[in-house]
Amino acid sequence: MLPGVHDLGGRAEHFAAVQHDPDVPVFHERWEARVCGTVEFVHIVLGKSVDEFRYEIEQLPAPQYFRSYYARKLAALETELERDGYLVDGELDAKISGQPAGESRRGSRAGARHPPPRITRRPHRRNPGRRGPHRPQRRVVDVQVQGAGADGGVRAAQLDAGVSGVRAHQLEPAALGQATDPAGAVMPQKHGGDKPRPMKCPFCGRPALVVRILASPTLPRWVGAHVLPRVFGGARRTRRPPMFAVGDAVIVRPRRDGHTRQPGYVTGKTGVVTEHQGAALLPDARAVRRHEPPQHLYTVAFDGRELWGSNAEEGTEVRIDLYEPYLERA
Amino acid sequence: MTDDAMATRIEALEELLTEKGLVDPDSVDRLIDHFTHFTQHVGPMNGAKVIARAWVDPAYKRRLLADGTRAIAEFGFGGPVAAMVKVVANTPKIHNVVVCTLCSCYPRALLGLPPNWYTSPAYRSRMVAEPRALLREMGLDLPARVQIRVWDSSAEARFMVLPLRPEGTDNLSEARLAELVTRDAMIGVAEVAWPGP
Repeated sequence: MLPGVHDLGGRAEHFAAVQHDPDVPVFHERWEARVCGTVEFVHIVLGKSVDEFRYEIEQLPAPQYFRSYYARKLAALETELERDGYLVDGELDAKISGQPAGESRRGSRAGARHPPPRITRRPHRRNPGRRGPHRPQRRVVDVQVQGAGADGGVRAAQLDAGVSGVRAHQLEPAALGQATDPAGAVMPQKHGGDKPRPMKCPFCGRPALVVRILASPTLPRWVGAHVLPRVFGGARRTRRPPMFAVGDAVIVRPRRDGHTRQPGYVTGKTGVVTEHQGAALLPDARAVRRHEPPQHLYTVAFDGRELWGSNAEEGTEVRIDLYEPYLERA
Repeated sequence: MTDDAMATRIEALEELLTEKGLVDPDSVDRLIDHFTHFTQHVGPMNGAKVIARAWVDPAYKRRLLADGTRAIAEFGFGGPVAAMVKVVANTPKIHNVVVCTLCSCYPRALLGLPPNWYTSPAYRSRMVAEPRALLREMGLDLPARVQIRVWDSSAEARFMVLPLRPEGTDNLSEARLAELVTRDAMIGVAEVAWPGP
């Protein structure tokens, strides 16, 4: 499998001078700050894992990916929102050009006359492995709706994510590829994915607490040391014994499709385990909300000559954390 | 796309998402204020305080290298992306430097948001392949006897470098030492310099 657009380690076509300025400002333009804040906030609200968003970024076409750090975040946020059904294709462009809203919004106004639907499930991905890199497939929205619009449109909103104030927007069941019963209500879909874990305040049901944690200058020691790592980190306990021990030689197996944290430049290379980091949830599975048991995580050292052959610089090595399924005994 | 076009685009998206109730503009403002202030005034100083403490307190240094997340929590530092902080110590024989080849993982709880050169394709592609040449270009010419250890942040851990304490600083206070520590030194693309009293 070819390395993705984002998998840059050792890729000579990107070798160039690094524009290094120790006093570089945080944001060069105001729009970069807006993108940064919006991306963070939306992901808090939607309870997205970092792996889901990374996977979205990795599927951008190269010209969009290489535009700039914040430009690629914005592009990925747009495709993510479209895939999840929060934005309809062309809706943002219509907003920018001041055009009237498209087909999919028409039902929204019609639907406003009806009682609001109750939605009991969050959107999930169908066939995550088959997502095309260029054209986002529309995400199937797993909803149970009462009081759908007269035109058969569905007001998808008020998620059980507990996001108070997430208001309805219109989605066409046909566009979602979803079955409707004669009354026009969308039938719930079966899904095998993990139930998402929205990051909301357990008391007020709003993402405000997460924003407060993010924006707080310091935290009580026990919160930083014990609470946040459990809430936000991927480290988990496992009873399975580790397959490798410190000092073992390992070879990195061929890469599989989809999101992975296994870079191309270590694939097929032999390294030595220098540390066992316990176990953690596998990003490959988290990116598509697939439930899998935690995997052991190892720091592996690769000598420069193993990675780059005769081009390697003397006395250099790379250390990288790799999950057990990425590794085989050498 | 020009900066103006990008500005128009994110503004329109924010408006749309606000209409849909998915975005609360006040919270977004608050996050932006935090990121800006933190990165410019707080972030790198958090890391610097940790480094200075490790220089003056051997017991703290041991705790820091053993479990970075717990050790920085002693200062009240931490956060959603600090679930596994790993601090790697430079020695006279080994120099550490941090990169993320797959995205832009960075020890944000200690240093703030990453600078743009850290997220650039040139830095991400070259640092694993030719660290010695790249460090030299960035102003750090390491002797051949110093081994270079590049940490590619690919999984749970976010790495920060514990630089060597500069010579001649034995009499400096912890607070004064912290002022010497730069963001670049904690990423590993510079050393800490002591210009003298």
